[in-house]
Amino acid sequence: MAIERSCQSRRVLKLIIMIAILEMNSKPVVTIYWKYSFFILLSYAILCTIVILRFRLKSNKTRHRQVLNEMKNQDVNLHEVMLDINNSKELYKILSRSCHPDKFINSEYHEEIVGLFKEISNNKRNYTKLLELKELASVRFNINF
Amino acid sequence: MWYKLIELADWFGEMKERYQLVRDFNKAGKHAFISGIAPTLIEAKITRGDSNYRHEFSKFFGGGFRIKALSGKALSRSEIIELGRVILDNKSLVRKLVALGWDTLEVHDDTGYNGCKWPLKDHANLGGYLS
Repeated sequence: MAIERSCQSRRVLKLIIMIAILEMNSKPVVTIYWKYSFFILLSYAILCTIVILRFRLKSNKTRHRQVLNEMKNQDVNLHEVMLDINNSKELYKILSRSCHPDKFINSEYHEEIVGLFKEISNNKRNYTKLLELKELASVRFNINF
Repeated sequence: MWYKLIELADWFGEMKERYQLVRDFNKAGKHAFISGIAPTLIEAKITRGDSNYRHEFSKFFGGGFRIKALSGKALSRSEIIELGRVILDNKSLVRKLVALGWDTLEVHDDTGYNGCKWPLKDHANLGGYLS
């Protein structure tokens, strides 16, 4: 009995080895596509790049949109703009004449007046800011307009 | 598809905001003229704009923001420039104009033939964001 069993197992083992050899010798089905592998890889790379670019562009778009919305939501007082258009020029002339640093050369406020004059020049066309500076000049430096 | 629909709704919202800004500007101009603050009546309208001043948010056929000064006489060049500079010095207004799709600021009077125009992107102070 034991001899019969060992013979059977040998046969099975031989069969398995034969099948394995046959499998190794036979060409696998996948190898048919090996000559197209370059194109497959290329198309895969292109697809990946498109997906990555699309995501990056989308994120850029959302960033643009955020900036755009911030800019859109800025409050603009158009009545102040009208005041700037019509009154700022006159007020600037008055302020630049009366707060000119040359008028305060030997004064103790000379440095501060230079700063004030710079501020006036920077806000040449901003009527509300010029009004504030006028108030400051009259209170701080006793300048009469 | 939903994204396209949202874009369409955005476009309509933007158009509404643009016309709202023009309407508010005209209303403020009228108010200043009636109350005696302004000697000239100022009116704004949407024009085609200059194609050389385009930026990435420009509207296709509505990139120009034209300010017309109804002064009854031809304004001098310095007066036109001064009027334009006041708008350009107001950074928040310029940024809003850029964001709403305007690219050109045009200023001219009602009788003369001269006017000035400026590219808004150069005055929006965006630190190279637009090119």
